[in-house]
Amino acid sequence: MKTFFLCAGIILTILVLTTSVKAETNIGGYINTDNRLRPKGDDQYTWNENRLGLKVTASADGVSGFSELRFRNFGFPDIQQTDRLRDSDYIQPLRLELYEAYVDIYGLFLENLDIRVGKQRIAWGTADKLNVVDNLNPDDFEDILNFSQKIPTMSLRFDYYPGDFIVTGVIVPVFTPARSLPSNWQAPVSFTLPPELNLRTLDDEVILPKNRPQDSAILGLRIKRTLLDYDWSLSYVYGRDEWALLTKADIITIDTLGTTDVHLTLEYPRHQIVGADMAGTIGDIGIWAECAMFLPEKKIYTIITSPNETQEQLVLDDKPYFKYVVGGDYTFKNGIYINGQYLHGFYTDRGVDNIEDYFLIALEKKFFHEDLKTRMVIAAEVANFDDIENRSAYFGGPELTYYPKDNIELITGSFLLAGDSSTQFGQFKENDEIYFKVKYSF
Amino acid sequence: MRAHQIYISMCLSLTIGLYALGHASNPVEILQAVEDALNAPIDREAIVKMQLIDKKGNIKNRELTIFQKGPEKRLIRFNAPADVKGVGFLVLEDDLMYLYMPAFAKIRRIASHVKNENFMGTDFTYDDMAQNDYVKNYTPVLREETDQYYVLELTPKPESEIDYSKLVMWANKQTMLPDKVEFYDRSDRLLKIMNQTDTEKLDGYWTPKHIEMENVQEQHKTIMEMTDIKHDQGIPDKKFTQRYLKRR
Repeated sequence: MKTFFLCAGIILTILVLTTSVKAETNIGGYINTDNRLRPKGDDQYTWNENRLGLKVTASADGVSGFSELRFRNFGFPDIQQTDRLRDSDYIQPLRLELYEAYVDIYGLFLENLDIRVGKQRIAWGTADKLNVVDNLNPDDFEDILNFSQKIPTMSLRFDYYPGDFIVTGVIVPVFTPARSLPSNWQAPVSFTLPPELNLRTLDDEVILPKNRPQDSAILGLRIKRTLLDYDWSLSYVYGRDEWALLTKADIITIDTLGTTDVHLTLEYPRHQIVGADMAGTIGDIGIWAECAMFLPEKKIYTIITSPNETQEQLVLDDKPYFKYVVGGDYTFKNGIYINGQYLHGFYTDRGVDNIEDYFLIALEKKFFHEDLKTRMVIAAEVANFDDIENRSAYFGGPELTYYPKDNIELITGSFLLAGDSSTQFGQFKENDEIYFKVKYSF
Repeated sequence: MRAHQIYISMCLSLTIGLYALGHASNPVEILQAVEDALNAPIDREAIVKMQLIDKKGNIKNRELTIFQKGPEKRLIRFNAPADVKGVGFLVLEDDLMYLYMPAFAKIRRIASHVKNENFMGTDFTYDDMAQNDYVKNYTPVLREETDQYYVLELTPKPESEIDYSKLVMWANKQTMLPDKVEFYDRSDRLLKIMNQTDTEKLDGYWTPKHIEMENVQEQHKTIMEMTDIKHDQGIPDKKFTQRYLKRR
């Protein structure tokens, strides 16, 4: 009920404000239901979400605002004790998210200067979703089917248009960490002890950067232009790794039987990223490429064992490492669309020796004047080219989207995984899923 | 300044018509006159309402705002339906095309392989929507001349990337606009028929307000109604940039 009044208040405020300045206001959005089933295992229902997304756009001369509110109802009851049975928040958990809320001011101070301020998504790069130069918003792995999602953050963005160039400057004042996979995909942090020790308790502490500009802020600069019919960009990010790195383990042996408590410390190292990307065509084939050079902060992993014995090992070297992606797309005469990409360095890969390779192919064909869309994604992860048989994984699956009427989408498909358990995707090989979604836009 | 531009354009239109009428026997000159009539406005802004009708009579609707300057610069912004509202499509010289999808907060470069694909489920291909350079792409033959029409048969030039085997065009002698065009597939079978009607002189330019494209093989039809048509408003070049493509 509190959530309802909060949202009603926000919408009413927007309406009153926009009416008072004679802005053109538009309210739209969508209703989405998303259900997923895992054929194997005990917990077969893995996702049951009903969502109302409300989008408010208001624009007046030289100014516009946009906001998206998400009301998310998760259908799994969160009940462990009887007292929760009285609370609808636990019986049918509801979550309110302000996905984006920003204001655009066009031609402020200079005719060629646009400013966007507020919680926003800043998407850099030319590749199809696998953007190695897209590092201003943290990764959002809440939904593995949409692993390319990012979390919009409060940012101040300047776009300046001198001649044929587009110069973009970004200040993100507050660091936001990435969102990890849900618990039914990945267990919480684990720790392996020598066999003679017995783990009693394991806890961890995540250290966020201090709330001051020199620690928390992220800065970005990009210069873009079209030259010789190709689009080119150069970018620089002074940022912070959004995935926490284990930097300390306190191992406290309690008794002579080997009973042990472990306390882990994780932090977010600084890094700088120099990026470049391009997009264009060769004949009728669309092509794109991105490359990012990561310059990380050196981090030492310290293991403290009682009594006062310390071991140190390098966990992240300050040597530069590279991620890159190249890809292309084409539509054949029979209407089949193909999109292929080679990626060196997944979102979570870091360090010179820990970059893996991925090959992705998507095939798409539309029927009945786009009333029906079929799509097949096939992807391979290669952790080690010298041992592909044992160090690789495969994932992807078919998807069918039917548009029976305007604004309605019925989507069904599956996400299948196979491969070696030591790889990023192979570790989830038991987690094949079938999904069914309905979306109505208004 | 605007009045001056309109005056020049009107003179140009008149000259095109007279020139074409005076050179009726030369199919290239007739086709050039058609192309010039299509490209006569310095710029154009219009709201286009589309109905997509399948063989069972089911109807889907689209609405978009289109800005055009010269034969090559075009900015299309979708107003409806809600699931594509805000999507923008920018076409520039040399097949430079960009798509803006608000859901991804990103402008994406589109390669020319989509040219022969249907535009957003309609019976128009991307190329049909952009195609105003007939002389460059087709070799015309005058098939017939009536009191009202020049009937031209257009065969794609070998170097062009046209996906049709031929077009048959009925060019109106008064307006020099193609009132009807038949599109034939690569097997030389009739594929689509386009009819342009409700042609009025707006701001000095002959303008069809009702366009129908029927795919006779699939029994699917797209009806386009153009409203709020404005010509020669002085749309600046900067409107046709990535900066304006992503504006809400």
